[in-house]
Amino acid sequence: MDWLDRLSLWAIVILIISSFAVIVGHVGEARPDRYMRQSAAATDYVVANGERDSMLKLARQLMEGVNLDKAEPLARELLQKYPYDGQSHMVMGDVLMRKQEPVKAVSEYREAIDINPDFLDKKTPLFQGKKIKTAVAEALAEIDRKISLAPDDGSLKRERKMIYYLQRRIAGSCG
Amino acid sequence: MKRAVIFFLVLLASCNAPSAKEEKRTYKIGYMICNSEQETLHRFKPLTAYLSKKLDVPFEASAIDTVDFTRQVDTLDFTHTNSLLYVIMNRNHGVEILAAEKAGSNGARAKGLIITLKKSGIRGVSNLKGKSMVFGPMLGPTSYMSQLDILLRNGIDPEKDLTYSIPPGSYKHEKVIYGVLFGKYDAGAAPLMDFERMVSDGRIDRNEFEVVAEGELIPYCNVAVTQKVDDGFAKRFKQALLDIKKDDTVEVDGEVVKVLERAMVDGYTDVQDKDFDAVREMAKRTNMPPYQRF
Amino acid sequence: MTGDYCRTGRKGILGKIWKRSNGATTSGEPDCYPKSLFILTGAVIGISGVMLSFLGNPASTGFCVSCFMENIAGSLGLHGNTRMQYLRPEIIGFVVGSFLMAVYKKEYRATGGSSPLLRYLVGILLIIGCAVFIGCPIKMVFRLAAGDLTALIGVGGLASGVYVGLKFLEGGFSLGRPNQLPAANALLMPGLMVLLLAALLWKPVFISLSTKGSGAQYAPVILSLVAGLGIGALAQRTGFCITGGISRFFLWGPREFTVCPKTTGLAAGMGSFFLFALVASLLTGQFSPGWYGQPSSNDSHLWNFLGMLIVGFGSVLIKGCPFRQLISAGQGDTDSGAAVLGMLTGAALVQNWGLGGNAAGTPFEGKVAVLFSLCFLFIIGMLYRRRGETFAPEFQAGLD
Repeated sequence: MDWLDRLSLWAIVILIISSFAVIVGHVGEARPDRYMRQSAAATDYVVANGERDSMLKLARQLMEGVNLDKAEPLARELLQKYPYDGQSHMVMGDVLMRKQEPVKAVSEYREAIDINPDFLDKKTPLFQGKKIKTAVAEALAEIDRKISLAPDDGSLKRERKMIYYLQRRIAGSCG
Repeated sequence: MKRAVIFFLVLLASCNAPSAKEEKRTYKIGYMICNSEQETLHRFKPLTAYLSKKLDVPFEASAIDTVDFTRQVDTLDFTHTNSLLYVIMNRNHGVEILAAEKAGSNGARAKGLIITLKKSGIRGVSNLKGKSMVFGPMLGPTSYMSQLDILLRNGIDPEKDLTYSIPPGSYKHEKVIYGVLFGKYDAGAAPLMDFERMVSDGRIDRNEFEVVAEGELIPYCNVAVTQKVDDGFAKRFKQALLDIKKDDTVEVDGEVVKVLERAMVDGYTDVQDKDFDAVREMAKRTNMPPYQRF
Repeated sequence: MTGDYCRTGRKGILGKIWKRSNGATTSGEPDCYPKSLFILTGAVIGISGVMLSFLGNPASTGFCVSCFMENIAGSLGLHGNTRMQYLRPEIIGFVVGSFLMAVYKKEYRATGGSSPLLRYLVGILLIIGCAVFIGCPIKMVFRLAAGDLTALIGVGGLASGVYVGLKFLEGGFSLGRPNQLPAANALLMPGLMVLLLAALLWKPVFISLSTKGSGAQYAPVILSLVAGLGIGALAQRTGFCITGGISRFFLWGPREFTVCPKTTGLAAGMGSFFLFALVASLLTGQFSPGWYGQPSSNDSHLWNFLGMLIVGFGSVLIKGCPFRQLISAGQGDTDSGAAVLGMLTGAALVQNWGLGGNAAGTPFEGKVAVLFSLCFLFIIGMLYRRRGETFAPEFQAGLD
């Protein structure tokens, strides 16, 4: 057995141990049940869609009429009733943008995109990529400004990481 | 080998291969109403027809009121609006700029004026305190926002230091100018473009007026594209706009008209989104949409 | 020194290697390598890839072998991701272009029998590594040319993997010598690609084509196909291979440039590829330098490194990166054909099991797959070594 064999054996042992460590570490995590609830909720929407659509339409009209006092509670109601619908999060994000809270807005946009990637797909009628891109740029500028004032704030850094994630989603991927 | 290659190419050409094809549908252009719906369509119908001819795709013109524009933007493909509306739609609806319109002495740029009558004795902005002032439509960058910006930067709060009102009816900018001319208001907020036009038409005498202040130069009216239009087609649309010349004509309702002359513009020029940063900063300073805080 | 590099005398260590190998080649590699041909190959790859992205392919992708294999696998129904289904003409073009050039130059030779099943397995592992990095070595260069600094992590991983693989080659790793086979064997891969092309053009009901997602992002078919054919032909002539080029750097280093025409050629080809891709990116407005917010990237840098390490390591063991496997399969190497089928299987597994990286990072399943893949490669390396020997003859073929 030469040095290459010894190196290979050590590498194999380390890799096997690392694999099991990763597996065991993941088993300890609470598996998010969001996706199971999401697919269960999706079937409910077939019936409830009419109500959801009219609430969405009303929320948008209120927003365009600069009536955020009514638009925001309606958007929150939509989120409560249809938490696994991308449109609910999208509307909430739009309300937050109009309230000049871009960081919170992009957080809602992120939820919307994770639920329904069509929001970033130009081939679909749901495409909102350019609006989201503008919001992300604004959010990034704001978070960078806040971080420069409080460089040790962990929550700000987490928010910035989320914004970078959105930037990557917007940039696209072949996957 | 040569025959095999030719056969192969013919085979390829005969197939309905998937590719990124342009959608063959009717595209809707929304034109912001400048003075009236009729006047707006009269001006821009030839441009719409010209674009249909140039791009071999049907376009439909739709005149939309300024205050309703953002409500309807998601139903449009292209927009023709002022710079403030563009900034609002860019932030809230992902609209992207294509080209700016050239007209008047400043080309693709415009500015707002605060005008008074010479005989009023008002020479500077500070003299406006306690006077009456009329503004144009609120979403007009050179009929309201520019002038509001000037006042605020000179320490004048319009809510407290002036009396003012927004006139109803059509031909808004001209009505503001006439309102000052006929002494109904001490000062007026009017776009330089309309002021110059009325002077050149002989409807007002420049010498009777005092330009108390001028706002900064900002982009004038512009053409933009909504999110749902294919980028390649948007590029073609933009190029068609930029290529329009003074003598280009189109037949509309049996009449051959010059496109630019009817639209009352000198042409279209390339513009970048960052050129609108001045409008954005102004909107932030004046607490206007899309940066309005409640 | 002329612009052409031809075999003349062989001296020193190179002479010994040549003597031992008796000049055997797995496929008829050319004796002369005009430098300009390598530069042309790199330029064509670089410019074509960037232009195809400009004309519709996904951003910073050009033609990524792993992503495109996933698209083909999806189109054939091997996985259910409706956003990743398209019969990429570029992949078809590589194989068919290589085949046509090999036939034209009378270098078409059906060979095989050098551990095809193992190559099939390594093909799977290569795609796992590429999927975790979100790109093959070719795409790695395109990402770099588009300004994606995170691709440098991939460069490091790939080079590290190549280095490790070379140590095994120096230690006598061998998959056995390939044998001459009946010519019809070598028609299988090009024939399969022609069938895929026919399926793309006539769209039978059992072929799925995405209407949204990255599978719906493609340049015009004719342009993609022509680019693929041209690149396939040029790559066949020059033996263009990114991991091959890096290997030669490690083997001979920069001092040997003057007597290693193919090393120089491959180095020139890779340099030309990157430079032309960079210029094309700049001219088409696709260049956006930075660490964050890049297409097809994430911040799981360790796993990206390990993913490309798998690719480098595995590519050296089976004598070629994923791109090179396609080219070799086209020119008659059925062992490479087995690797290509392994890549297709790997592409399906990556999608079905969710192994690939995404904007959020490397999924848990992908991390485990990377670690196990590396483990397999070390096991393979150990099991197939002939201790006491050095480079096996099949790995000396085509060396200067």
